[in-house]
Amino acid sequence: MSPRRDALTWYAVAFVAFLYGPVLLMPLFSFNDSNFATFPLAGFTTRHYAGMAANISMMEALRNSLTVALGVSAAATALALPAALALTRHRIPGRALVTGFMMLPLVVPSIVLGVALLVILIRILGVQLSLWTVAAGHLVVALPFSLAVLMSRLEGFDPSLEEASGDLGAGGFGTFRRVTLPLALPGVISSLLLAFIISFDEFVISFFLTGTRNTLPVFLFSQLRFPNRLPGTLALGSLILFGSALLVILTEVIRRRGLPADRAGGL
Amino acid sequence: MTPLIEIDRVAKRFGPVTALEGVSLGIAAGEFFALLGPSGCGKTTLLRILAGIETPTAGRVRIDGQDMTGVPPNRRPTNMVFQSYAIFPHLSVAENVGYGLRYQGVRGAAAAARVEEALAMVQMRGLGGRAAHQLSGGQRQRVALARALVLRPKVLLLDEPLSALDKKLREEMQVELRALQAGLGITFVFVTHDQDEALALSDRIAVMEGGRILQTDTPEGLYLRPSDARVAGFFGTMNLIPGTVTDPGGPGPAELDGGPFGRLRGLPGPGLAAGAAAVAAVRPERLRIGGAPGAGANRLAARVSARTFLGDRSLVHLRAAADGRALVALVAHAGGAAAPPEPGAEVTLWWEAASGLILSA
Repeated sequence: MSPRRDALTWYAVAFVAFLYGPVLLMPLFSFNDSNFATFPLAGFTTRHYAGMAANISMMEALRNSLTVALGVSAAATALALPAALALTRHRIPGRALVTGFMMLPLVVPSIVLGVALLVILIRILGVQLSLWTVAAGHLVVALPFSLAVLMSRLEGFDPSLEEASGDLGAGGFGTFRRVTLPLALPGVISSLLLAFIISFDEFVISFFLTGTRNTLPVFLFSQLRFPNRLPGTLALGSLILFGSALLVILTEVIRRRGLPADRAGGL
Repeated sequence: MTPLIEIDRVAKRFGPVTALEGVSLGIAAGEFFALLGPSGCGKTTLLRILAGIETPTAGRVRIDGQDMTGVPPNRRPTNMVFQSYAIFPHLSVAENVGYGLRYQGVRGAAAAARVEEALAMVQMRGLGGRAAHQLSGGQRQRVALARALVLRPKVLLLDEPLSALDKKLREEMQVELRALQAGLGITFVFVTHDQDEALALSDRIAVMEGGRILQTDTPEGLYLRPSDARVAGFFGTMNLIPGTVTDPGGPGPAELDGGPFGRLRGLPGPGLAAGAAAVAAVRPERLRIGGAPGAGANRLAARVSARTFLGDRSLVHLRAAADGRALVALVAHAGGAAAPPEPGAEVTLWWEAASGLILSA
């Protein structure tokens, strides 16, 4: 049977084009031999990519962003895992309320969060703004995502697996190390990647909480005032787009790998 | 001799829900013991209390003379086969079976030998390298058994061990479980809702309902001498006719006033009192159709409603003339006996007083 080409098919095509068209213009212009991101294209070049490495402040911002994102990713996952275990494994009174509160940062606008954190850090705690404060802000935003990912993973497997481990002689930590952690691993990896991307991406909170050293999104925003630097940022943007796509594909592959083992465990 | 497992007035409440109320039970060493009852009767909770996964709200459990109060599952001489089998999906068969050995200080070559021995015991020799997700349902059960038995527990606990298997495999595994238990001499305590399974496997059965034990006896005892109407209805088919006790009997048969059925007599069950509600109970194979009833026999008029040919026997469905109650008789064809009556026939049903029971309702 040949695929039907009705109105819905065309709608789907238009939908995808609308979603990804603008994003795909970025790599296109990053190879354009011109300082202006306009049609018609002037010719093919890789000089924007070559020039990128020479842009010291941009490289520093990239390094800052990567450092913060790695730290936030590890911290969010490490903090969310015990919380997710507690919320899925024990009959905690007011569990729904606790979960609700933990998920709250998901719905608070980041501009509100940014201002609130700024006030707390400067007025109440008297802390100097730095990459540490940026990371702390990112952690607040990333935690609920990590928690949600880990909780859904931990709820997904048969609790009698952990009971069986205890029955066979393992203590609490032995069960965690030999059963819970390996089974939660796809969730842990998803949480690491998700928190990393959230932090790497985050602009509003970084903008409020950054000190003298910029993260990449804040740096890129500051560069928009200089038209001749635009192709450089387009080149960097394209690389980040490529990297993010790789990460997302990797996450999905790992998640799918986890699935057959789950089905076998469920029965 | 004191039993291996002593369950002393154990109660368990989950918030407002009472799962067990004051259960006492003794299970002897080497016994194949069944906890039988409908879902929600507390049988699984009792098993999990024996394993140490749940802690009783009141009462205590002793195993081999040792008080188990406060002893966690990993320090008990019990191992469990879970209903879902709980095979670790990230480990191979051999790793699953060997999981608990390190906690008994068995490692390396000694552990590998023990694993191989346990796999051979459950007919899975040489399959140690298989991944968990490559196993069939029956194999998963064997792995779960091997994983528990390799630790040489004093008591093996089995939670609905055969319910996830299809009928044919279930019957095979019943035979194997029985042989395994007889060979090892380990005490097996298993939970089931399937009467046939309990009858086929166990030395003794505790029938549970609503968090209590109704009766504990051998399969024969439960079938032939149920203590009350609920137990009687649980094993096989039992024809029940309600009434009030007129004579609780003693050494002799008890008598019940069955209203439109008149006076019915049978062997007295426990706890009968004159004037109390009771049932006259008789198995389908004890009912006679037509022929010449003896002098003291119970009799009642009925009409045949349907007939099912079973080869060597026929199942005859009847309706009592007195109140239209459905009754079942099992008629053997052996020895050229007369064919059972056609549907629609009016017949006299009868049974000897010694073939029936009078049980408290």
